[in-house]
Amino acid sequence: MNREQRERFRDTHLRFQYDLLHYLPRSSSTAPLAGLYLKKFYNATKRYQLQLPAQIVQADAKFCGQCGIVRVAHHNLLVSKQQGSSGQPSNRLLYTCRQCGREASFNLGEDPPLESPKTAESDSTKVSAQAGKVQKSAGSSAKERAKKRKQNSLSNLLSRKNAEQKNRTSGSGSSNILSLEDFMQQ
Amino acid sequence: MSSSLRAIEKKVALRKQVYKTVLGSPFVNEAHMWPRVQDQAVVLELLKGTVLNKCVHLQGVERGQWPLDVATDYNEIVKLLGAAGGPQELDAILFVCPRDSGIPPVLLQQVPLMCYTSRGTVTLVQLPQGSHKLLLAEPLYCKEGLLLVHCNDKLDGKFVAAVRDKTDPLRFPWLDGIAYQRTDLKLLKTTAPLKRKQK
Repeated sequence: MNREQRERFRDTHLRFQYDLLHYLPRSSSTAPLAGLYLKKFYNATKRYQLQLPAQIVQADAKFCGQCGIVRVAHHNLLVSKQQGSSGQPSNRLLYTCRQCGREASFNLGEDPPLESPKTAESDSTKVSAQAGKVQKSAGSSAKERAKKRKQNSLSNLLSRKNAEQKNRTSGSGSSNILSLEDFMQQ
Repeated sequence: MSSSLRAIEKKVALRKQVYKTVLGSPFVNEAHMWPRVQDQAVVLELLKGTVLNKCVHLQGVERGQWPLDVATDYNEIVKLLGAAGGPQELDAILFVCPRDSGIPPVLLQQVPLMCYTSRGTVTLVQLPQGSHKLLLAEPLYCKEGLLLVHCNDKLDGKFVAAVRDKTDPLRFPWLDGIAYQRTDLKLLKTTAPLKRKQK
């Protein structure tokens, strides 16, 4: 096998194993095998020296830490959020696996502060402007970008500045003849 | 000699760095957990105009007397999405802020799956980054960045149609076998033994 073939085999192998993990919760007969298949998948990624994203690797988050089943809320998982108390101010997310009964809790931190409607309104304009900006930049074509680059070139900037100065001088000559500033300068 | 040199050159040759999706299969569809929203700015403006601005004027009014039916509590939303057979099927739009830094990702990890497996019609709409601050305003105070708006007579139909039109549907083929499917069968034609009267 050459390098390309090896990489292709690795991709299909890992994808097949990952798909299989998601196929298991469908029936109660295959679900108990989830732990074995999860271990196999992790071993494969280790063998290929791949670093998995945090959402997959995070303990007890995507897969149950005990039985290894893919968590699907209302199917094999009970989800509830517990409010923090005076003794323990941070909130917690509680996962209970319906397959094996394992409980896992995640620290969510404390509640964010309440925003007043006025500050929220001022922030909203920023957010909408940002969202619009992103879409604008994504939609601009190569032609438009090239045009912009040309416009920002040094010679163009100089000529624009000269034109502005000319306008200013001609404007001050025609409309502001009787201004005090001009009189003082003269 | 030349061939061996070429072989060495090939080995040493610089390769360009590329990023390939190793686990990106259409079956799991993990890359598109959050559906794409066209014109996010427009959707946000619609939300502000139709829901948020109305709610600002409802401070001190009980939630039951509001002219809109909304849910903001995490546990309440989870319960609504997983409700097993009620008098009415859930018809709602769920606005979420998955890109804001104040919300832990693990809290929202199951939300797309819950929306997909819920019995009713739930449209999941991801809001742009920074919109969590908008939802934190009084009196809504969506701590978890979740706002569920019920699509009933109280809500403007045009708003619902516009938002649904701009949002791509969820697609998780691996959950199709798990998702609830309503059976059309109501009466099964079969036979039963005749009971004889005992003397």
